[in-house]
Amino acid sequence: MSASRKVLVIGGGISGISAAVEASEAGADILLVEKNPYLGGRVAQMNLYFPKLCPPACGLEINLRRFRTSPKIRYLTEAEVTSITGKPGDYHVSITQKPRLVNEKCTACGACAEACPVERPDEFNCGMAKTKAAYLPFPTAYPMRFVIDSEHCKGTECQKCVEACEYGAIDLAAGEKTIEEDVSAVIVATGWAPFQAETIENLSYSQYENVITNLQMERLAAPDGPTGGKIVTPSSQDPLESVAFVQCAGSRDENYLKHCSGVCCLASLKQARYVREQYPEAQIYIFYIDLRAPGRLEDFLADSEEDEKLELIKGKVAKIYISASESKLVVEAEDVLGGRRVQKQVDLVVLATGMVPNVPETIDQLRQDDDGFLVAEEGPSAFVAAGCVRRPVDVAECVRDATAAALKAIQWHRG
Amino acid sequence: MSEATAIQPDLEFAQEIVDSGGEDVRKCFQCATCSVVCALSPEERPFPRKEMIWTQWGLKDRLFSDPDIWLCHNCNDCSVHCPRGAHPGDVLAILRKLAVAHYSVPGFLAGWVNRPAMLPLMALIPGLLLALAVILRDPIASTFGLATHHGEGMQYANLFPHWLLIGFFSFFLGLAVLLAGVGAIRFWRAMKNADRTADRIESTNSLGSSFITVVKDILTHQRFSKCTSLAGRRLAHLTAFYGFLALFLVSGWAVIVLYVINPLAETPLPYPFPFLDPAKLFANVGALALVVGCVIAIRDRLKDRSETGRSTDFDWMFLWLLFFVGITGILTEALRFAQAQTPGYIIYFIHLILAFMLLIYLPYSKFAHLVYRTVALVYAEHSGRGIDNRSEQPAQ
Repeated sequence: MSASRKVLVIGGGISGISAAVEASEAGADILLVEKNPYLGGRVAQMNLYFPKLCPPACGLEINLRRFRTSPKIRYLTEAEVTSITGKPGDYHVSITQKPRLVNEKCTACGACAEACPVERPDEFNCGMAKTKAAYLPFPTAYPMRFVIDSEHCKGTECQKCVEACEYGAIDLAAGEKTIEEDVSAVIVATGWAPFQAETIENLSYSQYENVITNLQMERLAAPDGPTGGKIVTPSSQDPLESVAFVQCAGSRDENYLKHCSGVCCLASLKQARYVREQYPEAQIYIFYIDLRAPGRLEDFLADSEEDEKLELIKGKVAKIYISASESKLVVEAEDVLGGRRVQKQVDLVVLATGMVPNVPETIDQLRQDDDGFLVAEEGPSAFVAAGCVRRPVDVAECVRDATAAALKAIQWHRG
Repeated sequence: MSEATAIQPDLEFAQEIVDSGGEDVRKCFQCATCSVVCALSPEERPFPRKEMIWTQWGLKDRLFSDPDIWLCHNCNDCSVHCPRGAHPGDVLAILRKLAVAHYSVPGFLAGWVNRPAMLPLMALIPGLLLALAVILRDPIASTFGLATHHGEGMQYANLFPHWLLIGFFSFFLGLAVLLAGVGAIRFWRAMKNADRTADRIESTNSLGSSFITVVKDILTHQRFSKCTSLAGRRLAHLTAFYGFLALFLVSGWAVIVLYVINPLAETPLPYPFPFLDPAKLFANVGALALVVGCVIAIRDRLKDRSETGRSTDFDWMFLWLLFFVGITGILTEALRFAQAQTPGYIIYFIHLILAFMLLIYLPYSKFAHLVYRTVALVYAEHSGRGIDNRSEQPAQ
């Protein structure tokens, strides 16, 4: 029925990895294309999963191991699909790959980074730290290989890293590559990006350093994060006495992000546990419109409510400012159940920003719903969306969704 | 929150709000962004979040006895920031309109005054009354020995002698003030009852000092200046307000000149006031300000709804009326200086009809905000709700 038995998986996060593993174990050849220089996507940035509070190494590692050992999977990092032509069961794909400038000989010894004279903002840590232009994305990155950021690297005239590398792993002259492939089906697992908090007019995100997003909070709490896992104020590295979590920061809001991402409530409750773990006396406020803890997640909420220094306040924070008298951050909301305005002074404000689907612009065949998430095409289609690009969901749901997507995709090369 | 309260939803009332242009109230999900972004909302029981849910539930009595709907100056901050597009600003505006109808006596007049289809009738009534006054002018004059001739050439007083004009308008204005007063008292009592029922502190500031505070605020538009989204609305209101006030004061001064000063003075002051008379200059500046204020307000309301909120017939009827009272007033004066008798008398007659509609229909039109907002502000101040009751403001 089809010219190729290969499935293209776009995106190397938990959904893409899971789909690739499932489809390959069912007999398909896989080409996985990842935009970043590492696999693992957003999950790699998380400190702990809810509700079990285990590190993401759990699920990610299990699937990455299946991924690594499969002879049927090929993957490209720093690569993007530029076009897909053809019909279901028989597609032609063009891919461009940026040069990593570091080849397989790399042992991740780090000598290049030590020698490197330039710095770049550390995107993996949400801009809260810097790395050298020659860097390892994070300590447990896969592939375990350094990468040179060609945008910041001074290029062939510098050569300091080339000289420092004992293994001859660096080639600063390497150029961009184009890859052409034939595939029968495409799994789109491009995931999500955090909503741009700086666009929310009344929450002052770009104005105050101690107003951070929930993703930044994950990095602050993560042992491999910029503070080694110590949750402190970004402005002065001070310990916390009080924290406010602002739910629906931009979410469920016609002016910003219309949909509910469904996971931010539990994410904040989870992050409140991070704070409590490090600061038994800290006062924690969670301002919400509605708390969404469906199914078994309700137990997590019930346990959180036991915490006497965790105050759940029904009312959306609509103002964040610095108090004139004490120069501290103030969040203001109406306590709807009490019927009064409340102002809480805190050391740190965490904005629970939602998920914006990452839809690749270069692929014409994709259809989106009103909120931008991918929807199934009408009629038979060999394009299958999986994970957060299809619907904002948690990690467990992504894995299930990816398995379903694998099943749909492999149907295009049966027989 | 510990005690259960039985509520009696009035779904017809909720529907009435929806039908009046407040349909978006249904979208509200009670996040309370509005109560926080509002620069005027008090710390305790802030608005308009609670009014939104009361409206959804049709809690008519609570809404009409709620001074807060009048503490709002409709700057639209709440609607701009509303994550649901529920337009709390528009809902409050509609509630104010319905509150005017609710408290006014007789209530049906509110339905008439604010409906464009009724405009011909509402103009015909003062038209006929004024025509009747002209017909009865000479018989009354001869019975009581009053003057009907006020000088050679074109004199508006030859059409409407001063005694007739002042008598006519004083009578109807007195009636309007009386009826507006009844509405104000009903409103005051409702607010007081509501606070008593809810076991809230009924008064903290004396009535007199509350009144003085409010008058000061009205004269400076201090509260109004806190609204941010529609800063232009304050300017429009301030301009029209002082324009109207100037005209009102000069009209009063004219009555004093004609019936107090001139009868006692050896050399009577000239009337109509000469163009360079301070009173006349003051009135002319006032008329200009009134028209300019109306123009700014009209221009502002013609903008997109997302910027200015929705304008209803209640708003437009009053605004255009005010505008045309100003325009016809200026024209009337201009035609007198031009000695254009026929067009002058026609425009003057129209001006009187419009002035009647503006002043005498006050208890039923949007003009009633003058009464209800003032009463609500005084009550808020008196009951300790405070017209300026915000805690610490952000440092800039």
